[in-house]
Amino acid sequence: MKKFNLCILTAVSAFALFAAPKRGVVEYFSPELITLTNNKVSISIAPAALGRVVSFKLNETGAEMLNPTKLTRLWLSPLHEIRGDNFQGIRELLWGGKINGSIPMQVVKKSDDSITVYSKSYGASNFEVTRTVTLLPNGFGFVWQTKLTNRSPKAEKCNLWYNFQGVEPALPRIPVAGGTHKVRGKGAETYPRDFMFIKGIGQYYLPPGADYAAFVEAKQNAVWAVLLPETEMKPDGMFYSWGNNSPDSIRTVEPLLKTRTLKSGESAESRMTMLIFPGLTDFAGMLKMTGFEVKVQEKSGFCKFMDSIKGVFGAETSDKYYTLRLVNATDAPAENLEVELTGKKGAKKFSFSLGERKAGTLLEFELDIDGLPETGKVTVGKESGKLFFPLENK
Amino acid sequence: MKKLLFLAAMYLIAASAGSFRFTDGTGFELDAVNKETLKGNFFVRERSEEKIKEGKGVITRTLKLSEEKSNRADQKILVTKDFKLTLTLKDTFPMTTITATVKNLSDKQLLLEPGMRLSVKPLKGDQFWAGFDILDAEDKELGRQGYKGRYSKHISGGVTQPFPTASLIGNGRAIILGGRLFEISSWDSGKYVPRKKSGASLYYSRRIVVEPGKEVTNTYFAGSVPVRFDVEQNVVEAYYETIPSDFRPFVGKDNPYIRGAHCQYSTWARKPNFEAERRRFTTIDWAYTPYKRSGDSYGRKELWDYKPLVCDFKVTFGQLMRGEGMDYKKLTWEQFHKRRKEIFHESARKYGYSFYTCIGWCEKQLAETIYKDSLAEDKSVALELAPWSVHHDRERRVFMYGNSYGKAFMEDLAKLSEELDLPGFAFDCGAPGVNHYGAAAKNPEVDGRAWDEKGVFIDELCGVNQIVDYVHKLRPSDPLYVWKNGGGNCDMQMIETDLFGSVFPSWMPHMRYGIGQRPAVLHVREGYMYQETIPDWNSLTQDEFIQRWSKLGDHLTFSDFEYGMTNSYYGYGGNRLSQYAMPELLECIDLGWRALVPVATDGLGEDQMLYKARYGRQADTILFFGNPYEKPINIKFTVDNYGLGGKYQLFLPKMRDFANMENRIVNGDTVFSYALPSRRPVLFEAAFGLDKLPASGKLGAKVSSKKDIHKMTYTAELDNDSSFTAVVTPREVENFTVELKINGNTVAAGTSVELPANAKIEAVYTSKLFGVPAMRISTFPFIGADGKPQVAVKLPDNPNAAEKEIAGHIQGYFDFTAAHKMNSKAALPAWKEGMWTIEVTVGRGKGDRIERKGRTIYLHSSTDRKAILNYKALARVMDRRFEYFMPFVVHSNQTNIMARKFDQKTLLLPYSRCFESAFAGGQK
Repeated sequence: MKKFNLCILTAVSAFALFAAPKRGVVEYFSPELITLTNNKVSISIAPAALGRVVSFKLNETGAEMLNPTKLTRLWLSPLHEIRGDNFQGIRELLWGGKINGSIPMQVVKKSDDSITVYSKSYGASNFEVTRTVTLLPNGFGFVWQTKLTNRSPKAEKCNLWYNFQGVEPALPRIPVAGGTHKVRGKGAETYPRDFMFIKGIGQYYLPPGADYAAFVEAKQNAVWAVLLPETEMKPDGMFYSWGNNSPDSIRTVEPLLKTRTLKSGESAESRMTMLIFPGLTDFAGMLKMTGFEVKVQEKSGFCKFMDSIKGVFGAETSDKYYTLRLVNATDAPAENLEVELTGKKGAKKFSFSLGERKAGTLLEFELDIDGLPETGKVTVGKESGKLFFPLENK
Repeated sequence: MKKLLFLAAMYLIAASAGSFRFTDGTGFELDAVNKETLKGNFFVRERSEEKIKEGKGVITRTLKLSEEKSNRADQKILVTKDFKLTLTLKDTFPMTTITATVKNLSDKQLLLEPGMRLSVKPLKGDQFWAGFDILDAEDKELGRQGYKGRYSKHISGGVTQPFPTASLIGNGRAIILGGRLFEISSWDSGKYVPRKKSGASLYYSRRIVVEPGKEVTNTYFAGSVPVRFDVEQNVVEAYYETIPSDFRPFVGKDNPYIRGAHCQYSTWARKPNFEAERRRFTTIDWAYTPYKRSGDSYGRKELWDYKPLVCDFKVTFGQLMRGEGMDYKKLTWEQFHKRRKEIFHESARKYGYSFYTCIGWCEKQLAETIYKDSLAEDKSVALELAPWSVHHDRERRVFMYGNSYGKAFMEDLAKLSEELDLPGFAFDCGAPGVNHYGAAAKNPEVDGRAWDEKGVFIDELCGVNQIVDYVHKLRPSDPLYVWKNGGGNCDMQMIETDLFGSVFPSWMPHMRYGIGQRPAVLHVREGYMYQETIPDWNSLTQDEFIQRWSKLGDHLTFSDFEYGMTNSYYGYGGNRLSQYAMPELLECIDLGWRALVPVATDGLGEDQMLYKARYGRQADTILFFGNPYEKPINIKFTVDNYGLGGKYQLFLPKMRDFANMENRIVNGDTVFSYALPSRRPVLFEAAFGLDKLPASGKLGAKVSSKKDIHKMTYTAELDNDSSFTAVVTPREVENFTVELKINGNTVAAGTSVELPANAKIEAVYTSKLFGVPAMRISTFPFIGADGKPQVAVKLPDNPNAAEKEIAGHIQGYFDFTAAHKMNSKAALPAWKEGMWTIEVTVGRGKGDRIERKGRTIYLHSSTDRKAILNYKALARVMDRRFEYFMPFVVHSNQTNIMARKFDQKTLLLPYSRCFESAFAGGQK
């Protein structure tokens, strides 16, 4: 325990290690970090800065999933200085409430694969937070568990909220529910069908089509996904996404969890799982611990030659073909996979037999379809889920 | 020695600013202050018809210009077959003004870019400024194109406009090309282009659209000024000196509404309290969304019934008028208009209700049906917001000038100003760098259009500025002010960002340069941002909390002075120092903030800093310094008089009662020493300006002041050992007449007078308003032995409305003091002969006068509006007796919890009477 207290002290004192300050100049600094590692991934936690997870990376390639957290000090005079950060890293936020990102959390428990941090007044709010982060055994991810206690003398409404941002150019993948749905603060939003939100301008308030969302980490050859229990998004959870006023700008994925009303002294628990699907280059959805992608592939020269022969006999040919790609974040048993894809020309069903799979193994199956589908369904064993595709298919 | 030589060199440089002249053909020459003669030329580019590759920007070509003979020495005419460019010089200082008029001689629309190029010889350490960041002028091309601003906020609003210049700064001089900041224009460019072998060129240009047979005029500047302190501030100051009217409020500084702090909704969203607002020094409020539907500011009958897209109508913040909820579910069109008119007629002039419009945003259905031609399409900014200003509408960005929406909007503004007797408007949003290519850009009558690779466009702020010009012309006899959030050519600026947030320090200086000598108010969301600044407040004792908070409070007070702005009650509640210093702050703001503080401060330790600012120029200068450290610091101040606009100023601490200080003028600089107290603002005011020095070039002076509300005297005892002749300018003091005396003999101010050896200069000021010293009012027995007010208000027979209103305010005064336990609450007694009396007259031919004779204080006013100002002046003196500091103010859930934890009423920050020598002492 002494060891951890020392850790906290070191982390906090990092704030004081500046040379003579220069007025109005933003200085960056790095806090002390605690790192947890399994045989697949590593995560780093900064107790001094809200105990946030500032790094989530693949051990094999070193590929980082999280946009870097930058902690800053802006000294204006002996009367005032501003401690700040770039609003990055994984930590609980409260929608509509203020959380001070410079407040430390106390490390109360640590093992090789798990850490528990605590704050009586989390981010200088009225809430006490105890958070445990545990790596998945032999898996590409970790489990995040939050216990939130209302320390205000009266009942408080709150919405836990996370703002995720991948390493640029991380591309958001947010499953959105089709039809008309009320979205908090926005009135009713209507979309023609279920779809995968992939980009936009400005800010979006999106009705959730599923209990997960992801980033395609384009430079890292992986997909980073967050999986929330179904109960977290109902009845009024939503996904928020913010970006600058350009289609190519950064874009966030921000799950806003359901409204909780906690009486004074009352606690609530929340949980989510962070996963990496190495090797996926796009994301159409997930089921259990498996991430799916429908990928458009360029045909090889030989295939094109064969097509040209088919074309002589009047057959329809294309330079492209489609594959279903899937990766497990944890080891998985042998199972059957059924996929149903529906496009403008109707629905097609596919069945595949999946053998026993090690975490991180990429499987790929060719799909006999002639364009990206609009909707999809996957069934693994006895469980089913939806696949999502952008509204404007290429 | 080196320092002395440098000062001497600077003094020589300071003797003149650069001069400018035409040469043959397109050429001109500029004599820089370091004696270099720089050559340049005028040019005109036009948009090429060549096809443009996507993302490559526009292709231009430079046109060949021929000189046509002009019979005026101050004019140059350059022509092509398609247009005539007439350049006219105006002898302004320190920069020369060049008016460039392009007349289209062809039958086609011309897309041109007239500009200036100047060859410069950059030296090591020189820097380039094109209106935003200061960059090292080395071997890379540098520059800025267009008005894309810098945001202070998440999505829209609060955008700064770049300062319109291309300047090379360093090595003792600045070389400046540029244009007017708020000229009706949509695009400009400032560039620094190094040449291959040696040297570089500065370019400044503007893009214009000239219709067949029409003319477009733009203004350019060229000049050179010495640089001794700071960097880009010298360029900004050159603008302030060259074209001062561009940086002052159009409505004039006498407009009472722009001369105070702002209420931040305290009179609009809540039932107002006149006395509380008076004590907060507020004069203006942001009358938020006084309409049902965004984009329908007037509330037209035909647009009244509609279904909002975000949610059903409900009464939230956007539906409050003077604290009264407007329930649009129930209100008919007639009821709404009747009530709004009543509210504005009763309170708009009293509290400075500034009719809010979210300029450039319109309810979506309205925008997409009847104002279709006005829809904005610049995808680099937010085009749709929901919920936004009124909360129930989905709002669409529109352009506000030269199209169907602009026409309706201007009609609305005219109708509103007339029907509601408005003092002015509050314009929210409208940002530089948002380009509109729609109907307005195609309208040949719209001024200020520019072009780029996508075609002809008009900048959003250019549209806003034309609306501002329109508002200023609406009621010439009593001009309406425009209070603008973000950049723009307004009368008062709102700065909507938190002082304690991280955006403010980097964003505000650019913003401040453009505001110039206009007043500015800070509109904050979170006050002291306690959760960020004192996150552990909940675990502190009250004493610990006050200790931490007081540092922030002093930062706020110093920042107000540093940036020439006022905060709102979010910042002032509980901050006694700020409240105490408010009269001085407002006086400074009224005088006009300046970019350059040309003062050397010797005596600071390594890495120490001071807050500093300058207001006014020459003999009307006030200098501000704030020592943020825990101990006093002895500082030797060396004031560069050239940087103050010239002449030789004599300074002393600006105190309310008396002050004295020794000055020496050395090498043209005024030098004095002072111990800056810890964490208290210090102001030095110039008492006199002399245009000449004795032959020795040296002069010492003991400068002193003695002040009361009815009379003031400034004295300078010179140590000249022989006589010399100089023009002595006393400082100008509002509402006072001045008599200038030399050795006791009255002389005409502003004329050349002989100053005998050891001359004694006196400026004796007499108040135009007060006829008695403050003591005669503050000792007036307003309260009787029973603790109740015993003063009666005497009004003339058949009192007019203004007289009754003042009587009501006097009653309100003692209601307020009673509420704060300074006396017992009671109605003022009815007047009878022989009572202690305040006699009030308005418009009865007795002028504007406050005096006391025996048992009566006389409060005479010439007009209704003067009556309010005169009453406030009297009340301010009464406040010395009935002093009260507004405590910590609840303005959020968190501050509510804090007020419960600590005793809100006793949450008052420490202060001292730092502007009163009787308490603080004079020179140390």
